[in-house]
Amino acid sequence: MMFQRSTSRLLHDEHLVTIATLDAVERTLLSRRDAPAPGDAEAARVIARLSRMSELEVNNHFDFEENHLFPILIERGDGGMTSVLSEEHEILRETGRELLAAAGAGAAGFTPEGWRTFRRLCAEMVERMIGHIQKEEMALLPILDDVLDADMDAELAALHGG
Amino acid sequence: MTGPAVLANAKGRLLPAATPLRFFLAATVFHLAAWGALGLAAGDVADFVGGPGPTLAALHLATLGVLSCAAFGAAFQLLPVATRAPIGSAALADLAFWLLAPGVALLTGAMALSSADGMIAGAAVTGAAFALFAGLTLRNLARAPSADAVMPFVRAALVALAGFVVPGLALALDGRLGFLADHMALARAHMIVAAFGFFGALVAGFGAILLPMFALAPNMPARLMRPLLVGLVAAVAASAVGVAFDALPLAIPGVVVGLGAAGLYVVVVERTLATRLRRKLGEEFALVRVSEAALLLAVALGLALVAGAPIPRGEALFGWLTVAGWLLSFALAILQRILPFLTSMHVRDARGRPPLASTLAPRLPLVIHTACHVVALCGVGLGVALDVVWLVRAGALVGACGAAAFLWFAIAVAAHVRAGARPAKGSGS
Repeated sequence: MMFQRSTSRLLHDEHLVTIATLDAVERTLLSRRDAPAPGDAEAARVIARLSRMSELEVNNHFDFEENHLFPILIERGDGGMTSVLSEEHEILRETGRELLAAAGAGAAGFTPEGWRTFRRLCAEMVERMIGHIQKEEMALLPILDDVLDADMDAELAALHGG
Repeated sequence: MTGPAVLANAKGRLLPAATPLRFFLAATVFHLAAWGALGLAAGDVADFVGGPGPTLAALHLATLGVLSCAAFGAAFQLLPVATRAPIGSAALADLAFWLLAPGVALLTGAMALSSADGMIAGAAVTGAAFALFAGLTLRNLARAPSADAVMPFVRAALVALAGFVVPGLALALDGRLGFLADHMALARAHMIVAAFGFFGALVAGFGAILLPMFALAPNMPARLMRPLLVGLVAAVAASAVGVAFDALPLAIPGVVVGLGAAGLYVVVVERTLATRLRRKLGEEFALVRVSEAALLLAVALGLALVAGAPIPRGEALFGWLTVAGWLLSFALAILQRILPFLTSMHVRDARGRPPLASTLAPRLPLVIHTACHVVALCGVGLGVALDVVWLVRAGALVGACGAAAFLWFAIAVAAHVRAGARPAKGSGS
């Protein structure tokens, strides 16, 4: 997907990082029925990556969209789309918080029940996040390419750290 | 408008859940009936070239029953959000169902029993359903505020609709009145226009929305979709007219162009999938790939047949690859994905959130269905090619088992609309 605006490209790059994390979650965590052994470095690395995504990356991404992009789209008459995306943000934030709590509870080793809960939340995060990225990649980002002029784009990209 | 844009704007334009689900559930019931009828007709399938009887009934249970019900339901659900214009009336969409489903049941029952009067009545009711569908769709397209990639394909499908419904009515009347000079030639043209013109245009148009969405891939490129549409229209027009009037100089180039269009369609889909963002593809893509292979085989076989190649039972095999291999595989792939998705948009879980689509559907019946569908396609195809009746019958039985599994899946999903969104036993997560 080739986007014209720096803002769209920045958000797209963040999606790629998130998808890579979710792929790692599926390969490394969801593929295991039993909890990883306490010293399992690969599982620990993926859990840490997922926690970082849930705690920081996703919230930064969502906050930027809600505070700086959605008002532009609402003004343009795309409020229906932003309300769907905002509702999904809330659900994903909530799932992320539950995921962090479950990961924290298993920090010293998961109980069988703790692992089942963590895995269920991982699966939920993967499914909801992939569906959400689908909408943003194919609806939000192309619209941004159309809506933003060069000045707005430069300003928003700088604001988001581009 | 792209697939997820459709989703993002879908909420305000969703029809009542019962409207599309009614069509989709009917499609799964006709699916089971089609395999059952094929099993009963097994002795006649290999030599089938047309004419009333259980084989014709099985063919129309698949095309009018499964494919049309799926197409009507998908169009009524997807078009209003793709075109950003309302469908007009959910009641008229419901009326289309109450004409289509009983009409197909009457028509196919009459075909199985070789009842000329029943076929006329069934064809009239089914034709009325198609006329209503065309009216609703045309009105929707006329109200669309801007052009969209899917709209030219829907317009082409509507032209093809007229091109196969009118000959279909004429064929039914001819069974009683005997006025056609060449019944079989018109029947062949009717089949080409229906399968490749109507359903083919809808496969390409709705596929352009749905497949990138399912795979998290970029849109299909307009520079390839335009020649695909031109090739499809030219191929269907030339080959249907050529076959109807026994004009090989028209039919052969028509099928050559059709082979090119089929190849281009597969290239467009596979190139789109190759650039997807996520490595993992949904399980429905196994059937999408089966449908692509069957399409290419069918059109290549069609070219050999119109060129006069002496292929025993070639017409029956061509029909099998086209209807069961290509169209049915594609329709079932789409249904298995959009049924849980649509349901998830109409219900809320105990926490007031849209439920995960994966929790609405048991996975086992889909695994059973896909395996049975592929085995049945190969079994019946080999049975036809080698003229082995027991293989056709065994293949139909396996297909019926798969269809029963798919019906189990569809009922399990649809039950959530009534019962709320409790997760299905054995569901994904």
